[in-house]
Amino acid sequence: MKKKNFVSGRTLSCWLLTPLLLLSVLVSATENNSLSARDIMAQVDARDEGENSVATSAMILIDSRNRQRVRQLKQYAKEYGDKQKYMAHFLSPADLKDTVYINYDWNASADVDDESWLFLPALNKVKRISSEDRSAAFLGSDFSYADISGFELEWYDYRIIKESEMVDGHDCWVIEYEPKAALRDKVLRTTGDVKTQTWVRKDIFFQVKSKIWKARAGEIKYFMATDVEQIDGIWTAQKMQMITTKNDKRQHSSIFLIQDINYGVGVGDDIFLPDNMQRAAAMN
Amino acid sequence: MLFKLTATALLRCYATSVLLACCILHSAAANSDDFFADIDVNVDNLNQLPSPNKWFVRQLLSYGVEAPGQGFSRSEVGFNKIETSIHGEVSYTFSERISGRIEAEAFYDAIYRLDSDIQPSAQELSEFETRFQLRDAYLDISLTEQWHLRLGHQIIAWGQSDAVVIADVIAPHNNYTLLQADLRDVRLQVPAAHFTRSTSDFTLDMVLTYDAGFNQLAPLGNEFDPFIALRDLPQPLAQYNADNKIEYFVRLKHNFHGGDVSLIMAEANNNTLTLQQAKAEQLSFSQDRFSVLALTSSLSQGLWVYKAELGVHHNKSLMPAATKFNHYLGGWPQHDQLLSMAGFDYVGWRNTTLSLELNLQHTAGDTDALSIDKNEYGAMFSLLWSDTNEKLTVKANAISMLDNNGRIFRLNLEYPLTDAFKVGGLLVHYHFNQSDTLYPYRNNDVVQIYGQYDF
Repeated sequence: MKKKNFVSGRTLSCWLLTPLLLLSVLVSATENNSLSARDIMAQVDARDEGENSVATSAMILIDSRNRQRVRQLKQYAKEYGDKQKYMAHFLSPADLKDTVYINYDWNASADVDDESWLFLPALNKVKRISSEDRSAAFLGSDFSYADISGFELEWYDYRIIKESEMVDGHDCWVIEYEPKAALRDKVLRTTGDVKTQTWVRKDIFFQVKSKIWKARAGEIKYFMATDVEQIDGIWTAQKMQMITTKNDKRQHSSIFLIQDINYGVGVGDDIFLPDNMQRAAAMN
Repeated sequence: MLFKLTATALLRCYATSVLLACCILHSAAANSDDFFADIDVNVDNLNQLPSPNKWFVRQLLSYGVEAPGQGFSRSEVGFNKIETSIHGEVSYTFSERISGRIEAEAFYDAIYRLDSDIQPSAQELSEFETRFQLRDAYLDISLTEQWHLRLGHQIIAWGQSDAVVIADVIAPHNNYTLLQADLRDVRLQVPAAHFTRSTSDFTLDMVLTYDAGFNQLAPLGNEFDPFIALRDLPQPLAQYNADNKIEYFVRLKHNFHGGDVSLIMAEANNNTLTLQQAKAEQLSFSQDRFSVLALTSSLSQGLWVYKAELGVHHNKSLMPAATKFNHYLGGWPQHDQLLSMAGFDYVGWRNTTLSLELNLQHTAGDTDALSIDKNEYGAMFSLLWSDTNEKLTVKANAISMLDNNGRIFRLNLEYPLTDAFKVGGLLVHYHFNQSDTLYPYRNNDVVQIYGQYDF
């Protein structure tokens, strides 16, 4: 009797829930279909990346002769409302060990420059460095600072060039964006990017693939994010690769592997203080 | 027949062209697609965290491209150093609040004083042929959430200037060679208690040192013997540590958006030796006591980082002119000096950091008897370029020195053959005129090559 009741109850739930579910999927699909390119990119920009995180990662640099060099780092990130603070501490190789990089990535609404510092153990000195050259290589890799810190939503005009394309079994929009005419010079100067095509997963608003045309003639970069999984409720790409090509020939490439990441673990504020960099390097 | 042949040929040609075009298009498409293909990573031990300890061995060959001249122990062009060094650092975390670190280097120069007329003493050999250098040996203690103490031997670098000592008065410098040392070996450790209190806006540093010593100097007859001009005197030269062994340093730093400003105060011993007393039996050099008040600042704007430093050195002993040397046998005259630096780093050009700093030194009072002018000007230009993937790093410096000290050009290239092994080269050119204080060292140009293996 109980069993029947249970089945009946379950069936009833199914009957009630299935149309609701279908309806919500339809509504969601309709909503997604009605989104403009800018709306989509706004959702990408607003995607939850966690209040704070601690990660152990490896950056693998691959040269044109496929020689691989590995640098391991520990990274800390914390959201502060008006800015995100980020700290990277190199664990290897030996000649980079204990180098520490700190970045304060201010929101576009703050209308102020980002801030960066570098602690070089060889000099025992903390140096303020410019963070506006976002086209520069991030930690010597094919990723630029612009690639890492993400795009500034207000800098670009967006358009959907393909409503649907499958990438690794996931339906994606293909969106192209270029600097707004009034900001073109500034964007080119700071990012070096002329145009970007990006593939955004419709289910989670996640950029899984990008093709980036650089200002330097013939240079195009190809980005891929794979092993995308939900960790502590946050969608995370555990492998990112960037290939730099020139005239359709691969120059070099870099792979960023997240070996271990924890969100919401309670990262202290002290670790992001530039004057604590030397001690942070010694303590890690 | 001819028509048929031509038609067939044209047809074949057309077919071949179409095929070729298809191939090219296919190949282009394939190439393009390939760039999104997953790259295999073939790296071992990625799941293991690297050891917190670090070791490396380094082999250096240094070749003097000119003969230094009279008075120096090396009289010919040739190798002036074949140095093997080993470097080790060990860190340990005792608890959440206490950690420790020891870092040291040992050097062995296989051709030290080879073919030299000068017989080195056992002490000199232990200092320069086989050299042991402690870099760090300290405990880091978190006293409270905001107060921290670093206790022990440590290297402390303050200030913005890379060319002039204005606020960077704590760590003595390695002057054994002039701008030939690896950057990590330029500053020497001091035994100190270093208290720090940091908040997001302010940082207060208080440093107390004991018997910190002075700049490391080259020995008698060596290529950078600082007393080469006095070696003809009948009296021997002696070097003494300061009488007052305790030094105090305070820095208050304020961080604001895009910049920072620091106020530095110090009661310190000058790390440059000055003459304290000249007697018939001996010339005694030691550290004089002086006070320092300095302001430093850095400001980031766009692709530029602006840097400035301004300092007053109160009661600093300064070297008299050679013609007035005998007037100051009881100690060199003391003057106040105003030192300043203004400069920038610029990063807007092809993975390159371009830096320039301009220096001005003003000496108060009557400077006629001094070896320097009342106002001295200097400059330093630096370029740091690194290839993407950091395969090759190029560092170049051109320095026009204060104190009529001429110009120095330095070019350093480094190339990592693997993660663990890198090779490098260094060229240093000294350009000193007869009126420059460093004129005796004009023929000390070197070319060095080195290899470093990390493990």
